[in-house]
Amino acid sequence: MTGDSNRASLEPAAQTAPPRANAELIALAETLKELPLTDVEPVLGAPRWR
Amino acid sequence: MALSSDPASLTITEAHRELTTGRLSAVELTKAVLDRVEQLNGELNAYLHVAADAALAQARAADDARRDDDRPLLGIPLCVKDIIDVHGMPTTGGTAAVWTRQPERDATVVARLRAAGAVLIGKGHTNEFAYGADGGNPHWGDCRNPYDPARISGGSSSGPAVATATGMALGGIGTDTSGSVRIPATLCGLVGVRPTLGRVPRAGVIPLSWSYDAVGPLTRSVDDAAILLRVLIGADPADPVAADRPAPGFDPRIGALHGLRLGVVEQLVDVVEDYVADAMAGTVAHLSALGAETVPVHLDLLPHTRAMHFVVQQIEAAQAHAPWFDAHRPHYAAPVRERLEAGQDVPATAYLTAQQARRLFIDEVSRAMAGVDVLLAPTMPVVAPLRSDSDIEVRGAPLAPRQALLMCTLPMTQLGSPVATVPIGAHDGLPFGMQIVGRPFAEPLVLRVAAACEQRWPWPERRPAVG
Repeated sequence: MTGDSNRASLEPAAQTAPPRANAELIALAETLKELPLTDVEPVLGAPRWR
Repeated sequence: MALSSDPASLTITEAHRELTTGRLSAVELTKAVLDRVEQLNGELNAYLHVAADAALAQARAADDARRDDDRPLLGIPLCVKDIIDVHGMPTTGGTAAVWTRQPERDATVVARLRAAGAVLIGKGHTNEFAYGADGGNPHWGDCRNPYDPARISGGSSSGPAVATATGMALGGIGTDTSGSVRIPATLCGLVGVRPTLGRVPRAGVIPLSWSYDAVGPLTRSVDDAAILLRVLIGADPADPVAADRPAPGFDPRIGALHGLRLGVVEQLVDVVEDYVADAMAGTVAHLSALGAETVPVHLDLLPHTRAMHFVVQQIEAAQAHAPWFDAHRPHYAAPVRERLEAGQDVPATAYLTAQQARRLFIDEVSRAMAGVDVLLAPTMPVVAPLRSDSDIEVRGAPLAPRQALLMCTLPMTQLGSPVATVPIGAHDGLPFGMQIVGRPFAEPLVLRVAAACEQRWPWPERRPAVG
């Protein structure tokens, strides 16, 4: 391994993270937080109706 | 053969009658269906794999067994969506060939079809990994609408729909996660059923989203849907979600609807094209004339269902694909790859928020259905768009195709309860349908209402010119 390749591996990471692919989906979930979710059990598996 | 028409044009119910009376053999029927495949599949692309020799062998076995055997699917040719394992055929999932698997056993639903005597013609076209609603596929070519090949077939159960509509099969088995049975059924003039989640086992089916994936039939008639459901329904130790309930009795031909209350989801009627809304009004009037009472239903949380669905589905899809995603990443088509990447590394709190919101919506629907037997809503806002359309115009507004295709089916998908789509009209020669939504395990009632709708526009009057 040469000194140059060592130097390249030590370059600092980019200062600004690229936009996350899941940002839009997280924002979509945020819109649901306006609903009255306190004490609401999530649906997991086949939903049961009351 | 004494039949005046091509046997490939028969419903399952009609074919069963002809087979049991000896006027038609399973080999004759299967050959007629394979002739249609030969004639039409090159243009419409309904099949990704055809197993003609195996199908004819199954047909011969059905004819040999006929004497003391009246199983309802004995000798009936069917198309199975290519995300469902069929032993002896490749499962491509509609993907680039590198993913393809050779299953060592049948999916539970396929084993049940075989046990009922069905003839399996081949594997039906699908969007890549069933992750799409238009019947497009860059790896295998698009599936095309039998009423106009320039238009989309709808998907992702595109192949079973087009095969069933054109006589390349007498019925199809598809899967519905966002609307993937209901949308192609509607655009191809068919009956389609998304059963109660857990009614029909999913073992041996490539998963997309565990909260939503349902296996269901696409057929030319409501009676045919009932026949297939009877075979498909039942507990399965290989599927932890499968409900331990026996298949119910189906009698879709009970004519009168006296005593039934039908709730019309007017928010969805308001967002579809006028010709769909007008046909729904005509259908509701027909149901009223049969004795049903109709009432408007408003669901406050319905506008939130899109967010619920995409959060839950995309996270689950990313997890379902995680075992092979990195290795196969370059082979995915860009839209599917991007959706899967968007579902990765999303906080669990976002997922649980969406599942809590689903609980609120299910509770709201349950309250709204107090005293209401089924809900009615359009299946699609428009007829089949052109394959070349980059946007789909709905009531004068251009919408992204995925938004337009799914806008009426996504809300009902949240419920985990049975939904049937039944054809109710046509515009410019292109069919469209209406959804009938029941409480969990109310498939017989849903089909009874569907059969009443079907009286207005039965299969022989709506089949495409090719079928």
